[in-house]
Amino acid sequence: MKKPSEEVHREEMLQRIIGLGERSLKKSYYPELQKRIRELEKANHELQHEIQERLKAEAQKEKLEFQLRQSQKMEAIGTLAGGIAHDFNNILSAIIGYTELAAIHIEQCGNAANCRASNDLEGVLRGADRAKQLVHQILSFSRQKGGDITAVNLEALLRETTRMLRALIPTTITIETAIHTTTPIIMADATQIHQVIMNLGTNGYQAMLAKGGRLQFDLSETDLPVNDPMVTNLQLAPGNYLVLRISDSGCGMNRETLAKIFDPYFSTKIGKGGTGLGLSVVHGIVSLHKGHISVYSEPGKGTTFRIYLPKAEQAAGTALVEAHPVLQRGEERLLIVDDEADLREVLQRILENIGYSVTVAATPIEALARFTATPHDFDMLITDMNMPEMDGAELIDKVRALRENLPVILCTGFSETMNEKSTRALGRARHLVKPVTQKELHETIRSLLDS
Amino acid sequence: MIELRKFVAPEFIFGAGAIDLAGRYAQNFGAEKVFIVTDPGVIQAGWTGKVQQILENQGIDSSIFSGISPNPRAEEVMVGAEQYREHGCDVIIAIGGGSPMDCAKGIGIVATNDDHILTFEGIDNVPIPGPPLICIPTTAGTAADVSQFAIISDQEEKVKKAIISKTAVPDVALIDPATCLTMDSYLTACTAIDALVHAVEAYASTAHAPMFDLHALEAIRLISANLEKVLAEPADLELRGKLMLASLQAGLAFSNASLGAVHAMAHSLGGYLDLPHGECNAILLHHVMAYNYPEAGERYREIGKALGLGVENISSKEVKKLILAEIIRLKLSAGITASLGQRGATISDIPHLAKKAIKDPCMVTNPRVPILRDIEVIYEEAL
Repeated sequence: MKKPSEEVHREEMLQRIIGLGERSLKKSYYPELQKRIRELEKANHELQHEIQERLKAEAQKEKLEFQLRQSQKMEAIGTLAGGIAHDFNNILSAIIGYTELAAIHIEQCGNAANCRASNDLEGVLRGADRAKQLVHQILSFSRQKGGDITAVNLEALLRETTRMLRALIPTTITIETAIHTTTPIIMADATQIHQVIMNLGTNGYQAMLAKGGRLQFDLSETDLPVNDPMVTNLQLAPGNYLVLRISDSGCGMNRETLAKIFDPYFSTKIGKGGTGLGLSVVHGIVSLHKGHISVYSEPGKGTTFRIYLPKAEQAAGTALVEAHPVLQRGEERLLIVDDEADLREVLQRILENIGYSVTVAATPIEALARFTATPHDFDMLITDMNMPEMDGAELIDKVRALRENLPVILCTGFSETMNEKSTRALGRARHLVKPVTQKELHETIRSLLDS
Repeated sequence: MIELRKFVAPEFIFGAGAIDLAGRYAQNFGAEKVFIVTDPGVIQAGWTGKVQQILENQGIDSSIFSGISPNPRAEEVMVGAEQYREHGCDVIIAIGGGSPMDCAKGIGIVATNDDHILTFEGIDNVPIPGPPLICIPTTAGTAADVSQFAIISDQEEKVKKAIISKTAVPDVALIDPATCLTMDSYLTACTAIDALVHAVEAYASTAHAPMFDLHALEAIRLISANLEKVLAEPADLELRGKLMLASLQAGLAFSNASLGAVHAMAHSLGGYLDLPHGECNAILLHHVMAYNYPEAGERYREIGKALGLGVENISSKEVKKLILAEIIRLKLSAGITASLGQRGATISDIPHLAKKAIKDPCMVTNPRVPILRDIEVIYEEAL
């Protein structure tokens, strides 16, 4: 029996012998011409090679341009989202504040008939708390909110997170982890990186829901030199990076979907439990850690995310843990500045309720005037950051010029220039992110005044 | 009849005195130094010296390369190409039988393409033609002077490999029957049977075409009518001319229609036992024809006519009997009597021989498609 492939081969060979369509070079009578043909053949070969190289470089350039556009877009969206979050936070502060006050009043009345109202108010607070979480997520995405940065062992974190994933994901999906580095240390907020791995792992699982498959985690390291395209085109700092690759063998994505996956509120799972914030938060977290995230996907084959995170220079240390001060009543004299009347009133009433004597000012100018008149009548300044005429940081400077080392609390909904770390640089100062609860506020005041 | 086909042949000059044109043609090609590829037998017969003298009269320098085995080897081609370059030559003249001509083709290919000769094995694998090549055959059989074939022995694999390419066609063939006068009778017989096999295989090839058929049948007629006469009158230039013409016609046919199982098996055999090509062909021919008969009966009937047999109005079975008997008679009367066994082949060689033969490019156009066992059986019959 002859195999068909052999017959096809035989037929092909026969056609070549018959000589149709072959490459038929006429012999030349002149040796010079032979030489020239040889040279041209060689040049042609080189040109073809060059064309290939150029095509490759163009494809690479296009890819990097796309990535750059993508990161610029993310930055713009981040700024916008941050602004919205700021306004939203102020509104939330008022809602939470008034609700807490209402709860206190009901309690003081001590009327059992009011119990139902009390429960309802708790419902309001729970709803407000969920809104607060959402705002925090938006802020994470928009790079405005930094967490606690410590040295983190990414391998240990990865193993712990994949153990959690294992418990959540059905066994039709295998989870594989490969580590190709011996020093997997980064400076990071462990909770946020955990969130990144969980999020991408869950996405991979959802892509493989129908048919099962393999979820692979691969941790390696790489060195990006100064002339690396990632460095020159994506503004990554040159140096050592850990590369975490997360691949699934699931349904994959088309180009169109791929272009939008990091956009906030873009989701293919709307109505099925997706908020559309997961990947945008992941993007924000990675950017916050001065890293880069890229994605490669083919429909029907799967998706691979690649996360670059800068390696830490020193070994992992231990995180600084703060002891919580004991809650007690206060009696100090506080000066409060906020340009929003609602918030001002809420703060005043909450603090007076637990014993403080409170003076309020509607503008930083007014506050400065009152303080200048009687600088020793105040034990602490609590100020908003973003106000017209003068911002909170400037006000602190002016007040401190009169009374060095006055304790201050700076409240922000959103600030590009202030965070926990830079506030601490001011000495006896604390930073609170709005909306603040009564408990947070009181603990912060005590920690400043009792230290 | 209307199938698109092409006929490839070099410029050739046929007739007594053709060899004297070597100088003029070398000059036409702008030769400054000619690389003469030949073998010790041809040198001894005086033909190489004659060509060198003709070139010198034309004021053209030359360099002789004669380190060639009867079945030219890949290493010899590589050494030749090195010498060609070292001596600064620009035109090649091959003078002799199939060995120097095939070797010269190989040298030309390596000289321009600068790679090992065996990398060009197969059909149409030579990118750039070699330098101008003039072939002067001194045997009437091989027809390498007009063909696009070059057969090179691979000593490592112990097999002869075929390089088939338009670029292997010489630029000019100077075919002078007078050069055949120095052949002994056994060489005359072997080369003539080689030409007969060329004609038979080209005619029965699956790539045959009407314009090749003409040449194939004419070659068969000439050999059938003249072989025994030449062997009886070896010094008759007129008769030598007829065999030389037969060789040329068979060459034009097989160069374009390709060959078949006899050559595929002879290449394997010649590479393994280092036997003369013509003798291998002679030993295998009637065995292969018997095997092919079911697929080539009608074409073989035409061959029967060309052999001068009364094959009209008789059954196919009788035609087969008549033709095979005539081929065997011709071979024996020419003095080729040995079997494969007598020439040193054993039954244990056969599986290896068959494996190589079935892969040979010549096998592609055989009228009957064999399986490995078929080839083994033919070898066994020829033992």
